[in-house]
Amino acid sequence: MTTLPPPRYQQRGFATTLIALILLIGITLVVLTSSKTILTETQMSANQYRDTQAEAAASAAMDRGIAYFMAGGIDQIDNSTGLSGADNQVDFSAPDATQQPTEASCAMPATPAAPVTLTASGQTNLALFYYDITSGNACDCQPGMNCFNATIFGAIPTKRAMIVARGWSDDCSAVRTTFQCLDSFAILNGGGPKQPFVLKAGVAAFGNATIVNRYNNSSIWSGSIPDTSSAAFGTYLRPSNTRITDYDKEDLDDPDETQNTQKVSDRNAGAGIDVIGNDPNLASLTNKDFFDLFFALSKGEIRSMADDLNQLYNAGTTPPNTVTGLVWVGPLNAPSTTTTSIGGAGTTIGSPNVPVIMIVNGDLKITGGQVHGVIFVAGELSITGNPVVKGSIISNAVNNGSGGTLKLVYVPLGDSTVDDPFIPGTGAIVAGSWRDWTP
Amino acid sequence: MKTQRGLTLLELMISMLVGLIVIGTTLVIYQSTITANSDITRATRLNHDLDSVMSLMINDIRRAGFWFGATAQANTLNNPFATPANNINIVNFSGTSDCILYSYDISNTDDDTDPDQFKFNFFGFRLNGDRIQMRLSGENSTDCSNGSDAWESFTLNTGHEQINITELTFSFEETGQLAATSRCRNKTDPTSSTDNIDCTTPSTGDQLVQRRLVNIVLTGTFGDDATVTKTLRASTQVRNDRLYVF
Repeated sequence: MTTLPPPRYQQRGFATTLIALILLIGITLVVLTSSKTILTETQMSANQYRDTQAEAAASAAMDRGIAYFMAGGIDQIDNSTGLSGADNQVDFSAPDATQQPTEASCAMPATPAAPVTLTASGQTNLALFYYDITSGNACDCQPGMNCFNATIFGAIPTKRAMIVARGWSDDCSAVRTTFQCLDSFAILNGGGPKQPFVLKAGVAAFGNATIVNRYNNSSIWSGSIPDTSSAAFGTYLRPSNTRITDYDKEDLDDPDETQNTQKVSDRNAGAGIDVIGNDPNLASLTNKDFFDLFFALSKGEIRSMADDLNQLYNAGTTPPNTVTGLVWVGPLNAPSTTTTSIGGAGTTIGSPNVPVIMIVNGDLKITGGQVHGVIFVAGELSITGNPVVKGSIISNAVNNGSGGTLKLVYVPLGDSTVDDPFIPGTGAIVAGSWRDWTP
Repeated sequence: MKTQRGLTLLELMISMLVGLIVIGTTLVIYQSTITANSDITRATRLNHDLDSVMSLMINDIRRAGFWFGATAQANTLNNPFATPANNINIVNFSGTSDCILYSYDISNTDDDTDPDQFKFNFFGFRLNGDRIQMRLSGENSTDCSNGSDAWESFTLNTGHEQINITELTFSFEETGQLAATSRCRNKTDPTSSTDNIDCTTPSTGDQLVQRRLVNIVLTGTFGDDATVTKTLRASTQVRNDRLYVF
């Protein structure tokens, strides 16, 4: 019996299938390779983009930190409460590693630095800035350079710092840090006037003025003979057996003349040792020399700095009570004959931390209220009401005929023995100090 | 008896034709995929390489003028990196405004007095042939052809992948589609201040402030395929302004 072989079916198109298969595999490989290349390129572009983001965030934080400094120095808030007011501590200080965003936790933790959140088109970038005032940072104490002086109140120098600004990319994978030195101009010669009251010439009628100076022993410096005939006139100095260090700043600047003082001059005693009168050196000065005696910069420079601050006013225009720092009223050269009024009962111009330096190139009338800072009047000063000035008044002449009562409490500005306040308008960026690398 | 099996001539021709069509189509698809892919890769690479060079330039140029000695107490008029010889300058090398030279205190130390160290504070970029070159050391910021300066070319890929730079121009002022400009402020005589890098006819002794801004135009092309070309434009502000007495 013959067994038939199982039926065979002829397989056809094998070659075609094989070739098609090889080609398909080839195409698949090519597509896979190219998509990998594209993925790598995308990753590289993303890295570059994030680097740019971090750079922009750091730059924005730097700008904000500079603006903060320009508005009032590096000690504007009480760090324990967060409210405005100096506490002799730098407002924003360096965070440690745990106080900064990381790639794993891309959010701003509690930080002693100033956090900055930048949002644009639904994307958020984190940044921060702080002020580095440590001795030896690149802006300050270097060998052979003059370092800042320690102050008797243990205060920090609020007028210069190195600002450090750091920015992160949106996923916190890229971080950039930039550095810049900030400083402020000394606009007052020798750290500011050494007397509460300086009068160049004219009839020096102090009227009812009460002048308190607990810092040094000079109350009035005048180019003419002082008239001390008013009943209420009096000058007060710190008791002779005490030192400045026996008091804190609040006591030294106390407007109550009965506290921690001794009376030196009045109508009965005449002008005491604290009154320098009839000084021919002062009386013979030209207007320009008189100005230069107190200011380290020229009239033009100071006027343009006030202009930069938007605090330049025409004579006769009362500057708003909110002005701080440099204020210029009147023209540049010849003093105006128009009288400008400031103050008024219940008003305050400037503050102990942010005083004003008001230059009135014309006549000035103070009508009450309180002023912190230095007032320079190129013309005549008149007083009405009961103004209190904490600082100094420099004037060509004083007319107290209208019966006002001035109380003048000397608070030195820019003196190395006390905590110098920052004067808005005097801040500056140190050119040549910007860097974004650490060698 | 076994039956002879096989294909008729007609069947064979039809199947061969169908096979050819299938193979041909596949080859065409394959070819076009390869070409498209390589075009994309080239464009991406050109894009990316030019971008990298541009960001390197803008990041470095804005450091110009940094000085270790620029502290709160220092007189910044003494900045050795802002003198006419070391200040940032745009000069001609082989074309027009195709070379930028500047200096900054890279080590952040007081090594100004040691010439062996000081030369490493000089930097710059220039277009040399079809390559961008970066300066590694130098003597001044005014001469782009100084023989003692050390320059290094950027090699943007090699062989078939090579990228040639066909244009590199720097400008302190508005150029082409870049509207940004440097500014000069004359503190002594404000009327001579301008929206240009230089003030108008300042007098000797005037105090000037220059805020420098650099506009850069960069064009590159693919070495193997000149039709793949790209132009990048960018502006960067030099962060350290220059203060000087005219």
